Amino acid sequence: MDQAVTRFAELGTPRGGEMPGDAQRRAQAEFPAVLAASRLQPWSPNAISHAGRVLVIGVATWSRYDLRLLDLVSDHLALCRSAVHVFDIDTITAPDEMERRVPGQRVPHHPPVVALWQDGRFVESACGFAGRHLVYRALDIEPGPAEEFVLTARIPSPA
Amino acid sequence: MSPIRVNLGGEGEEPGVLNQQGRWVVLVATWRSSRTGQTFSDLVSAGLDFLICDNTALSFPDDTVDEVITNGVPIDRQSLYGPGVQSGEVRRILKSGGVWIHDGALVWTKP
Repeated sequence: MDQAVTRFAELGTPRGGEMPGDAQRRAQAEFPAVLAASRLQPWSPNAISHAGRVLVIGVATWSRYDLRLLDLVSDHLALCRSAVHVFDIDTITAPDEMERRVPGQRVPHHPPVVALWQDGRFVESACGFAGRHLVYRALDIEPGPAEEFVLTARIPSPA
Repeated sequence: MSPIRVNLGGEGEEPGVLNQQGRWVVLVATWRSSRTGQTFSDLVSAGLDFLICDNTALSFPDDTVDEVITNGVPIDRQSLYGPGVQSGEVRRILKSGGVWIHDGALVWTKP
């Protein structure tokens, strides 16, 4: 019996000799179920209306970096209470919609696409390398070990 | 003659290979590399080689490339970024016996 995928990074692992395009289509199809089972929340139009700090992260399901980032963030949320709302950037077909979800990022040059809101007010956005580092700052995640994990899947040894 | 190795778009430019990117790396002033956050000028200054051309029409004749590398790029899909890497183009440019390495794994060898 197939085991359900529980980690975002597992979505990017090819199965049974899949060619890359097929693997990516499968990963995108399975992404909502993995998201539903995580500590992250699917983006909704009400996402930013919540009080407190809200992080919106648009990811590419074909990006190993983005999938590992989501695992990192989901694990981190076991230790802190923050609202993190996630969407698949390939479900966005118009720059206006991207701008609505992540102000200042109409056509981001790389995923992830990240916006930080505080008490319903937009604070900051970024994409790609800067987007990952905005996530780390917003969630008080140590960037060095986090980047090593996201880029390489290696967990740094304790100093 | 040295093997011709090409890295198509994606997450992380590599030394010692020809890194293909779309025109956005030059036309979009805010473009930064995904892995390191460097500008296009930074990467060129660091000695990386680039080929600027569209994913749908790679600037290689048929059957000329020994190795195609793709890391964290959309394959055969359309997004806000435009057309992703086209597997048909990968197959076209590879020589017989040439290999396609995707996300670090060998996925295809051209017969």
